[in-house]
Amino acid sequence: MIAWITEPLAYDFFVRALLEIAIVGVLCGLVGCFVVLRGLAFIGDALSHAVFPGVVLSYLAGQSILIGAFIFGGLTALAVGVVSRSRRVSEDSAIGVVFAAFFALGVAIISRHSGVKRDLGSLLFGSILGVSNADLVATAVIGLIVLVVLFALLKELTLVAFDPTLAKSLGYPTFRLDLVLLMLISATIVASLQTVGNILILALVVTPPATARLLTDRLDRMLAYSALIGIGSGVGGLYVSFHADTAAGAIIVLCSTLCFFLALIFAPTHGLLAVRIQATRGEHHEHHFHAESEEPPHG
Amino acid sequence: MTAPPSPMHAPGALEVRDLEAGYGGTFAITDVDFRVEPGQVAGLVGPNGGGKSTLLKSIAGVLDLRHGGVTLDHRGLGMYPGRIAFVPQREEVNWDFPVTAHDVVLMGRTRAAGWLHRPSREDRALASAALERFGLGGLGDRHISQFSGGQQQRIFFARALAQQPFVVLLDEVFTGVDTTNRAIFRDAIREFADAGAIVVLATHDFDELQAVCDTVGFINRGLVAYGTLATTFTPENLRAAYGGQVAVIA
Repeated sequence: MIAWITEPLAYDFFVRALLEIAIVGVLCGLVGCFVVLRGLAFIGDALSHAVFPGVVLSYLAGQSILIGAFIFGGLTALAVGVVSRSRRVSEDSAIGVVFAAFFALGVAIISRHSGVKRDLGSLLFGSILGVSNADLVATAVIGLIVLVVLFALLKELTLVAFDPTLAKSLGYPTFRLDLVLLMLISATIVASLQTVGNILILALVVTPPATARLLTDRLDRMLAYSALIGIGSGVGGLYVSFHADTAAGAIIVLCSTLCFFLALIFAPTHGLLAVRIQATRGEHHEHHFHAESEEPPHG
Repeated sequence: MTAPPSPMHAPGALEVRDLEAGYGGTFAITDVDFRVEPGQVAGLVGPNGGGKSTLLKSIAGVLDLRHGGVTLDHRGLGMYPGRIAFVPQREEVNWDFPVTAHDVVLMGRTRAAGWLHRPSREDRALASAALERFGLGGLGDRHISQFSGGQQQRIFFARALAQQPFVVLLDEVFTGVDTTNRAIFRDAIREFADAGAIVVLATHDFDELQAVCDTVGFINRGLVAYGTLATTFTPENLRAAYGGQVAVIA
């Protein structure tokens, strides 16, 4: 058992991958809470696809994919924000227009360069075992900046997420706060891209927070649980993939999916079993607390 | 001279001048002018889709104005950050959001706490006192979905109170609420006014309007009539605002 854990640590590439997925797990877990609470999963998916041309261009230029992805991530967030300001274009339409266009651009660029096609798999599905020291440092720096901004604005971002009307009536610049959140999500996706790739990254951003939400009704705990689930399924998945000789990105995603289904069934109050048990006991799980003469319970 | 001045006493009158606002073409309102003095409760009535909520939200700064302005003591409401309280309709909020009743009330103090600062001990004390005032003391750490509809509305009232507001804007707070909570909200509105705050209440409910309001405005795509309850709440104005949609029982 101990050998199962220590044996892979003899490989530098594995240690780098472990550090990378640990940072990414925490980062995606925390920022992902706002993706889930704001219902931005579609935007997250769009962003991760829309940065694809950036990834391809960086690859062709022999640069870190983070650079191109970062530029295209910022462009996408801005384009979506601006296009959806028009009353006649709903936000999800704006996202659909922008993300499909950008992804198509990436495909068009690839079709012109036969050399890239060979590495298409690693561009689309990540190559966590190929993470370099420079990549690791870049992920850590971007991650740190994102987390500093996230925690500095946690109170305001929570307010806008729960009650944008109150936020506006309190005089907050809600449009700019939304843009900041989009930038944070964008940076998170870019920084995490190399672990599981454009197509699967959404799972790291959405699955751990959705799991955490099943386990608690408090935002602070949801953030903590989500980060733990992110790091746990990342590290666990990496080990399993090493020993089972299976694609790391896919196993990492499947590990967090497993956590999600365990929570969906067994979570203390919101799990399917708990709801079922409460129902058979004749209780409703959202019972009200009768502070005053609210309609009294049967009696 | 004995009692300290109320922290809610508005510095001057709320004035709405030549206001035009709306979403696209529907629910738009134009040419709205009225004035509410500190300590007064103004009621806004009118048919559905006539623009009551639109007007309330444009006063709150939630909707951008197309024309005209809203001032408190001759200054824009942006000069009073956090002191404009808005009590929304219950359906406008996601009750599955992972926050407690105390968290929600504390959100009313966000602006007072300031950027980069956590709410202070005073902010927390104000939030707890506000929950207490609305009969929810001791239930602050419950998740918001665990309260009944009337209690949820009370959480919003508590949040407004915690803001120590100069202006309180209430959107249909009596809709779908039992008699106990109606009495609680009526008392709360009078308390806000007695403390010198300005209250503007959009409502369908003529009984509550007559019970709590000093002035009344009829809204139907614009301000049909505005004045004191005694002079303005007349069958003629009702007919003019509702355009025959209401049976006037004299």
